[in-house]
Amino acid sequence: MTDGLHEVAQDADGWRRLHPLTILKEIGSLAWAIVAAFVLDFEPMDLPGDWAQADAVIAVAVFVYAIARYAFTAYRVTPTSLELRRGVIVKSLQQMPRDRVQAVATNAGFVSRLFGVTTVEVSAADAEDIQLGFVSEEDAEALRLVLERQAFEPEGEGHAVQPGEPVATLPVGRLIVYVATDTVLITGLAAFALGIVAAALTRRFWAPLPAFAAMAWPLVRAFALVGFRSWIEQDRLRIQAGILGRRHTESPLDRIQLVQVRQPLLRRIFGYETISMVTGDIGVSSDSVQLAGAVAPLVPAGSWRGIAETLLGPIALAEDGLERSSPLTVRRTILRGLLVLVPGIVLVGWVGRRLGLGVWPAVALLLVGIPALVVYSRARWEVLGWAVDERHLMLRRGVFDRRLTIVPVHKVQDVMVRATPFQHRLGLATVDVDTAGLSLSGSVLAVDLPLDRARYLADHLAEIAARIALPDGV
Amino acid sequence: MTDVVELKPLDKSALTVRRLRVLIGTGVVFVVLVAAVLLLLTLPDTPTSLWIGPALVVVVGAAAWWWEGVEYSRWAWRLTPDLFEVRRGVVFRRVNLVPRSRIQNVTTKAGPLQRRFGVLTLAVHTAGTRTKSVEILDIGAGHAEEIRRQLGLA
Repeated sequence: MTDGLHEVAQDADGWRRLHPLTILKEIGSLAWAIVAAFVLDFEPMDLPGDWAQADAVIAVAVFVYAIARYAFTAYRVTPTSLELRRGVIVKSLQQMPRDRVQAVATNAGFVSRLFGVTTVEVSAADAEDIQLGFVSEEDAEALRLVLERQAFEPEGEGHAVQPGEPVATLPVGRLIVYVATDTVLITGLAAFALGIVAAALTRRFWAPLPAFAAMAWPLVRAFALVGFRSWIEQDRLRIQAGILGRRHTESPLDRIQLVQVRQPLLRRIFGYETISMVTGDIGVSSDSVQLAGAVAPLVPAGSWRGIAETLLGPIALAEDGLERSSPLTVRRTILRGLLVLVPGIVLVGWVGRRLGLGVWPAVALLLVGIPALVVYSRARWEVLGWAVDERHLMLRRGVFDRRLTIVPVHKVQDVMVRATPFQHRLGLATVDVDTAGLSLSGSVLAVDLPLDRARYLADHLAEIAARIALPDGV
Repeated sequence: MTDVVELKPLDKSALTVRRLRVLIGTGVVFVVLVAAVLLLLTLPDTPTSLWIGPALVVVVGAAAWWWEGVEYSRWAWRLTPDLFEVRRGVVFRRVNLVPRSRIQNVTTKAGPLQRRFGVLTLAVHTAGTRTKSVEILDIGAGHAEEIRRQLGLA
């Protein structure tokens, strides 16, 4: 099947070469040999006659090998699978059934965009992605269309979504709020300020540098979100972002394993939330899952229901209908907190004595720490919640970094009920739900449920999941 | 669940295999330690208190022998029309539920000792990302065959 693909550089069997610029990439991957050539060329080594030309030989060999690697690499789309063959000496053929395709992502850096080429990453539910790089932009688009046509056939009840329906955008103003409310950035900023104070006091001028470096990461990440846009096209979610390097991901809606609504404290204060999703590919290699799965980086609080329903279909569960964990969890949180707080108080007391401040720092920590711990533990209990019906599982966790996770019940792969000895004594258990997608920021957990409720939840999930057959089990 | 399928314990031979493993493991360490102590005692000024080492190994071995019995008794499994369920754990208790329609493949493997006693390790794999497989250690070969047959794999 060659529909849509250009007829250039394609042999009778439909094998297609990558873009010639790939040779540069291959040379890049052989850089160690080039470095070796330079080392051999190093004057003081004074090698005997034959070896003096080794650098030239290596350079030519690298070039020839790179061209050979390029020449031996080809891909094709057959009616049933996507195939990639490579290798000059050791040959390999990678085949991916088209109906197993979980997501297609294209990724173009700044330089590649100048030359109109891109890398295509096709992932299935196993760890082996197929990476095609470089491919011309037209080829990438054609490949995407061909792969989708069959791979993403809707099944069962279709979503009532019009083609091309926008999901979310990130205007510049929002992006600024996004950056300004980034917990890592703000923490980094605070550390940076402390570092400057420390530098001024101790005259160690490198002191703020580590914090400064820590701030760079969220900024780089935010930069990748410039021009963010996500929209629904037929039965697929498409996400595009970045100006210099542009990333384009698309995932069939029926491959979405869970949707997570994040309301970190700072964003909650300003009335915003972040919505992400996870598909069944565990090979979203280079980029962080967070970025690849960002459906709506920053939307007004409460927008989640509309977006989640676009992705998962109607959701009957509501946040105020969540069932609480056992109140005993407050006691457990306090006890666990004391395990940290008490040694902390002892340490502060000891340091205070050494510094001649007496016991007061320790007393202050005691007076502030204990009530704070109690308040936190109660708040944690109030946040912890779960709800389940025939279609979805909804879980809420996190006092500061509040996460609301929605899992379609039929995406549940297995359920584990587990209890530590302490939980067991109190008649509590934790339900751990596994899907084919990576769970964002910690596992999908319902913590400290009374044992009978835990068993009910687990049985309910597993039984409904068992009743719904999935084409490939994902 | 309306059609109740009883939880099945592991076969007695599983306990035999596990205790034999303990016996072999501690036996090897014991012999090596005894040899080492005997060797060291040929040197002058070696305290005879070195015998504490092998003695400790025996104590640990005995404890492990007893522990295997307790741990063994906590294992239980069943295959209902909907689910594959495995329960285990003495200190940390775990119940794993795998919907039958989510099972991707089943692997069995057996070491020489396991084969001698007709047991094997059965692993049920799902597409899940964290719990990639749910295992039953030392399940009777007959039961394993039965599971594979019921899942339509044998």
